[in-house]
Amino acid sequence: MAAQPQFDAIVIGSGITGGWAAKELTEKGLKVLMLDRGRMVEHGRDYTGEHMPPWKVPLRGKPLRELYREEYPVQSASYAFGEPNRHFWNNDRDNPYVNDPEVFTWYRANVVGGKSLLWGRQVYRFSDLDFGANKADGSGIDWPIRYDDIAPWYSYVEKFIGVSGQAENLPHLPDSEFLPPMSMNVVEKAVKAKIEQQFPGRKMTIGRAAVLTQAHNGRGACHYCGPCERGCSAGAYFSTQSSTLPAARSTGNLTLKSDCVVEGIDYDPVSQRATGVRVIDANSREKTVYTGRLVFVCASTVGSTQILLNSRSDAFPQGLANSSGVLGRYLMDHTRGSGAMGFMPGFDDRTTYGNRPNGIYIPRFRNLGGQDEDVTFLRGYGYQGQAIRTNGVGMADSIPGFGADYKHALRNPGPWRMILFGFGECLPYRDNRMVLDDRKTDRFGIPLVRFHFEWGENETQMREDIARQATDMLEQSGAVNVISLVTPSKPGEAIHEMGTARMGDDPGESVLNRWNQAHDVPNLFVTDGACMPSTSCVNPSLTFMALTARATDYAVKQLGEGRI
Amino acid sequence: MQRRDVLRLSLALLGSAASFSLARALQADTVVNPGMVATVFDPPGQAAIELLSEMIIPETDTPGAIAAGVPDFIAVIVSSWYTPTERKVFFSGLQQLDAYCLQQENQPFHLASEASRVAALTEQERIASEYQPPMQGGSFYRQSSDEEAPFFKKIRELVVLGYYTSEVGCTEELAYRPAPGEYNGDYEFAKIGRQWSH
Repeated sequence: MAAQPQFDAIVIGSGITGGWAAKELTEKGLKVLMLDRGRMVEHGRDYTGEHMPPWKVPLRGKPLRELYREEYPVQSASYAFGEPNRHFWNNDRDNPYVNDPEVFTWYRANVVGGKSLLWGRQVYRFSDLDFGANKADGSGIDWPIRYDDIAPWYSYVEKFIGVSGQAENLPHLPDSEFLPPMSMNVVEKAVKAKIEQQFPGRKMTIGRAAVLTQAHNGRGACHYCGPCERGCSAGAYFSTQSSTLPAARSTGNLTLKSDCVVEGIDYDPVSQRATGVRVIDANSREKTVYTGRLVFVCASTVGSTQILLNSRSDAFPQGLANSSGVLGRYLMDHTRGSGAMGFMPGFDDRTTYGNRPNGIYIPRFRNLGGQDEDVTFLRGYGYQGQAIRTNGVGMADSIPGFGADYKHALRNPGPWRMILFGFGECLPYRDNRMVLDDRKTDRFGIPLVRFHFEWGENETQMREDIARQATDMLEQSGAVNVISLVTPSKPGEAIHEMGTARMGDDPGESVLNRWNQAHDVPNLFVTDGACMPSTSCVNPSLTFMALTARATDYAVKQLGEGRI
Repeated sequence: MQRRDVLRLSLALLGSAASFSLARALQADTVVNPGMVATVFDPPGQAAIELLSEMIIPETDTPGAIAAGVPDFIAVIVSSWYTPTERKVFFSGLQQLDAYCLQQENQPFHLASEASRVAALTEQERIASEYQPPMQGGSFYRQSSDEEAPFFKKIRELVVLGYYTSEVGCTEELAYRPAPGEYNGDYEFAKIGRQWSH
């Protein structure tokens, strides 16, 4: 008879979904092991770049070019990457993948907390327009759930994390459980009024953000310092460290191990269960197997599928829970890179006070009631953006001269600039996929990820419309010198990678069922972005969290009933 | 001798001398790290950097570039961060300043009169204004740097960055609020009278 498992549940990954799985499972009384391949980051203590003044930043913010070229060629391209938080990011030399970032840009953290420390904090609910999209137009497979299945879990998650935003009562962008909204600035308010007047049916609202506008669940309100991605010791934005990790720790049921690289998941063909997780210590390279009754894979879209693909056995020669053969396929990312910007005259005596970690949002208005007549692409997009008082110093290169007059010119801010950039839904394509390279391995002997990805014609057409409509809206709002932006983003650059282990009702064409439970392995759950059959056009992290909470609830009930 | 010929001669002379010292400096500076040191300026060069810093951002009702420590920042960047191409453009710019002042009043830049120095830097700005940068690719996130950008752009960029990220630049010349505590999107600019530093 086999020994008792060491843990009731093993959670692989400690980012947005891993933290949620650990919190929920420990609070339900399970003894949980949470693993992360990265280093430990303790809340506050390890936010060494937080509030670092400009004169303390190495090289005053200039990139450490040689180091970045050698060790961070992928990560250093992110807007959020810099010396104040480089210690959160993956080292691309130590942990590489096969492709050039032009093919697919894989942004990764390499610390406990994962990308929850670095994320953009925008949170929006999916609607039935999204959950029904695959069925309606035949791209991909139907979602096994609808909005009513997840709505209570959205509420559950939002009440815990704290979401600031404005209720708008839009059926295609359901409201969250809101804390008070952040405010628009004077120029954004003017643009909002013009857009809503000139374009019936379009709406501009303040961004919905997992940033606290008032103290909430023991965490402090935002103090508007600006660069959230350096970490926030006030806990004003949701991260594992600020929110789910303290909750899980307080139960006394959590064991957290950092520096643990998961090589694969063991499977017992007799019981047809996952039995344990094979781990390599990132420092000593020592190998260990941890056993558990439940396994939650929450290692990020690409990370989770890499682990499953590398968990090969006689029963699953193409990767664990991959009897369908779709594991790794239908990789998606929002398409972005198009939009518009222009200057807004008439507000030069106004500026802003404080650094708002949030922008505005224009919800989807395309193809809401069936196919719009004037476009041929399917689905839609939303815009994020903001008006900013431009920085005179930032335009120093374009101001002529030197000396006292030049210095005085830089003391003043530049004009107001309004920018809108779109996030477009990406269709699921079978050939957009990740595989394991059959020869190249990393320093742990784990096969490297190789991506195959190309935008489709639908995304290309959508990007053109995103630029066209943004330009039109800005011009109608009184902006001048409007520039239309149509550079396509590199795949992965939206950092909304989804798919590769999709949910579905048919085990023949999906990896997970409606509960994020593997069709093939009842005690195995995948609840991060890998599970998504489609992307919507809204930022997906909130949906990952809600699906995770929902899946833990189901898993623990199943466990209690002796079904898994 | 025409000034143009002086310049050409100076550049030719600089070419061989500079390439040797640059090559050696590069050998020594292959590791980029924030503890890097400034090694490439001789005393006249250091004097020129100090003069240029203060000429671009002088002391006014607030301290200038020297008080903000800008020359030390420039020395570090040019010594240890610049690529060979950037360093070559930078040093030939210094040499052109010297050549200009030598031709004007038979003194190198760091010993020349203020009028001569201003004229020399103005001439560099004119040269820079005729420069056609290569096409810049990129999206919202990407900005490529132009290593060939002319001397005037380089020196002014370093003075501006060094000054406006300094404690003096952030807190005295601009307005610094590291933890504002609130957001007001409709704030009267006249209340601060200068832009925020970030």
